[in-house]
Amino acid sequence: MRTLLHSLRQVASRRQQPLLRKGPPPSSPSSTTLRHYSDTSSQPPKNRTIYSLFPQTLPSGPPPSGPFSIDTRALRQEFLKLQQTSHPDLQHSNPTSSTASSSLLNSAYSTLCSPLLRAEYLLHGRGIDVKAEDASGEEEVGQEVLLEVFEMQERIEEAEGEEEIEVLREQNEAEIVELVERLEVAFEGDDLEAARRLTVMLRFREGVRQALKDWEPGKEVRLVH
Amino acid sequence: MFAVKRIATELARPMANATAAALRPTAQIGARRAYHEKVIDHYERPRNVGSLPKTDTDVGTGLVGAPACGDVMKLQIRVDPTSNKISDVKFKTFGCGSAIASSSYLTELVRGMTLEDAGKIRNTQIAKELCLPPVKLHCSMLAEDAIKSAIRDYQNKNPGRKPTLGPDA
Repeated sequence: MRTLLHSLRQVASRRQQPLLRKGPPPSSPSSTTLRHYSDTSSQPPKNRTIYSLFPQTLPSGPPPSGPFSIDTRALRQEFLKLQQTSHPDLQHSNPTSSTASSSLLNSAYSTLCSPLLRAEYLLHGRGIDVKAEDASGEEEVGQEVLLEVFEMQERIEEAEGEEEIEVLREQNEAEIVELVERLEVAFEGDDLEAARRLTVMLRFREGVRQALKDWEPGKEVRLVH
Repeated sequence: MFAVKRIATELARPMANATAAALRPTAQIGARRAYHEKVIDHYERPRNVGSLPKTDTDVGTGLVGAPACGDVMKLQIRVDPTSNKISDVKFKTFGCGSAIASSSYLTELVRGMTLEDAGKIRNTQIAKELCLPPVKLHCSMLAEDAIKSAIRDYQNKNPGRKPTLGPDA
């Protein structure tokens, strides 16, 4: 049942699968790969999430103990430094474990960098799956959200020139900024229901962003997801 | 699973622009599970596309969807207040071929029906008619939700005439 966001989502979810599948359930034992990291530290609960892979940038762990927003420049520097030591080419002594940690780092890094993937990861760890395709009806999202989606789809469909698309792009980017700000508030207050709703809208807006980016005159626009 | 998704992606486009050029070759690749011809027929020639004036008191609007995917289905019914029958029906769906076909077929089904009968339509009826595979059953559920939501909207607008027939009368 799909429009523009499909392939995008498939790519993203495929890349994130190992992490998203396991997630950071606070009460469950950490996975083998993650244990490799938690053994090096002595603070149990936060070490079960991918936040513990980057102790310098994310010392307070995931929300609600730490902030939702992340200093992505600092994260990148720490990631590159860690990658230098965990890259399989440099780990001749124990190739199996280093391969695991290198790919784990990669996927943890890309999850944390993206506000959408980060939010989905955090919610998944709390037992909330925002990707369920059959999430329909008013009780799940509310009429105003459905109206917003419908109107946006119509405006993209009816857009006739680059100028109109540019206006939509600017509006969409502003919406994304606002959604991320609101997500920050929701996660910091541990309001998971608000976070879920905002994450659903953020996923939609990311799909719209991609659709508007790919827009060309005369070319049919679709939300691929 | 992957093949189905791939074909679904081919089909996924806003329906008002539905050109079928890319559809046929994909749907004909033998080894892959393709859409049933009934789905393709509704997708290529969707029935009753459009909208009715939302503010008319005899019009009920149902809007349902999965916003994360950008899928959204709008179904509108016009009801004859004397017979309580659906005299006109329009839809517009952004989604995959199955979602478009489910809503298109639904409009054919409910035209001329009483609200009571239309409210009894189940998604299984739509899925069976269109031969939807299990991964696409949620599309038919969306269509069922849409007609229910449209009926509810009409009844909220016209509280006096709510039940004229059936057990609630």
